[in-house]
Amino acid sequence: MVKNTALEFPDNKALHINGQYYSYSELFKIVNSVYNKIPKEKVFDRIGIYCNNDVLTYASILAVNFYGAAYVPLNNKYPSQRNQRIADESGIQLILSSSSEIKIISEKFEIVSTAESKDIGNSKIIQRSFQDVSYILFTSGSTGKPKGVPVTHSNVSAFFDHFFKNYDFNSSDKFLQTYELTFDVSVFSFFMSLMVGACCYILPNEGSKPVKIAEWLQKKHITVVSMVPGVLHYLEKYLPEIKLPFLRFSFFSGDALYYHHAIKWQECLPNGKIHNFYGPTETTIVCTSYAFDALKSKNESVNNIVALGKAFKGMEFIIVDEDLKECSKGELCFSGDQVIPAYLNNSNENKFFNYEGKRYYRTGDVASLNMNGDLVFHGRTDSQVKINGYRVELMEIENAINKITGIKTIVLCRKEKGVNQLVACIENDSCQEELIKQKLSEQLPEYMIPVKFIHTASFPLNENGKIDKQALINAYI
Amino acid sequence: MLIFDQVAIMTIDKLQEVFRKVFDKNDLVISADTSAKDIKSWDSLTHLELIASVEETFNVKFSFSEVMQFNTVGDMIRTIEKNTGNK
Repeated sequence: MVKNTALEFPDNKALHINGQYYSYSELFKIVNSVYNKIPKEKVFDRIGIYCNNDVLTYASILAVNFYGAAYVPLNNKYPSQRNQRIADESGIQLILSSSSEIKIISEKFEIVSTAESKDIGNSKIIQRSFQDVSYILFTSGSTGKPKGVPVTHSNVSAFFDHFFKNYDFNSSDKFLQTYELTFDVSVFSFFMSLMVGACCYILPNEGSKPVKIAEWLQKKHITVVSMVPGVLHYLEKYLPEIKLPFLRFSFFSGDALYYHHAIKWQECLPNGKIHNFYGPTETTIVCTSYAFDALKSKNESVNNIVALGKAFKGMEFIIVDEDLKECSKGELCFSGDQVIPAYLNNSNENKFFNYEGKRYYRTGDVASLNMNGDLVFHGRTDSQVKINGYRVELMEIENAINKITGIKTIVLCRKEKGVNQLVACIENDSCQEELIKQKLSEQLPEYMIPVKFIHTASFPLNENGKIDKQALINAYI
Repeated sequence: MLIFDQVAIMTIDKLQEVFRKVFDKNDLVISADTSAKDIKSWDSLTHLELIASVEETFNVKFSFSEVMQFNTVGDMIRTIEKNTGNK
């Protein structure tokens, strides 16, 4: 499909990266050159791409796609051990890289430099089916071992089908790609743009990311952007100064979108719509959507979090209790065209189950339906802990502290002498512990009041821009 | 290498203290050319924390268009001086 748009709009700007524009015909010359570097002696059904922020990396993704193999992005910011593990787990034999500095220690992988001028002259194209894997991404596993998520062409096709049917993206649009290529929403930003003949602007990997996003939205007259809601948290104090008349669509996913952020962002967008998306990597990027509306969304927000909306066509969900019986508020589980067939190497089978003849994926997220049939988010199943035998949702305490202080708080659970204890981590230079405790005691039972309060000027984030709870635990618990 | 006058040197000394506090490194030495590439922990998060600390220390409030221009310490010095009326 991307090839068709290249033929239809050869002179349109396709990509803007590192200060340079590439037309569709220029980009496809580079894609062809990378494609011709894939060795022809062997057939590779999975190819690693060592991701740098350059045109050759993006061209490599397209080249692997045309070749017919699945691409496995390796993050140049990851430690070598993690990349090594991903490469091992996914069974890749070949890695394409635009840089000679590769953080892979093993010699068992064939590494091809896409920057070299010499072409091998590939003639092979793998015959692939819709059920074959398009890309493999890795999410952090609870065991500490990365979990491989192979997403099929059929999954991806179902995902994009939603956008072709519900949005009017066109060749004059300008998409901003804000994600690492190891984050699945990058698939949307990059491929959606190319499939409609639009231009994809790649955010430079320098400076403060939230500031850079706002700067590029303004300067490049971006019309479509997808980003994590955390960006608004960091830009909050500057939002009254930001005006984005060119921005048509602001998409959020990957974390909870807070109403008070969304309403301020809406003020920046005289002509733009905000859509909140939800979906784990296992359901192919995102699989529910909710159109934000200043008035309606206020009433529909739960714990100040904007609703997740309705499932895409072709997706079904059920909400189940601990015994996998349907209930009104419980774990959200999905079945349908976007659900991956299995984890890589069939690991974590317990995340799937069959119900009434359908295979469901357990998201680990607690949700319910509101009066309008929109899904609303309540927290994680795994953030539920027991204190003195009482069931406690950590998010409830976080929200209570947030209401008192207006400051972002994470509540963690630690075991002290075999007993579960709650610790509140507050993102601030100081913390009025006694005052917060006193106010909390007015709202919550004693067992829900954290025994310890710590404060830090800023929460550590993982590579996807989410709060790194593990790092907080390592530092303070 | 950027060349600064006496006022700028005083500003950079004061800034250095802010940097040392934010990045929790007592031996950190900055110059007008110092950018995020030179300080490992200077990321998206600390960038905004740094700006807040600079605002507090120099009793200034940066606009977003000014914040967008902060690529080096030199950029910060120029903006601080503009805001404090030293230039």
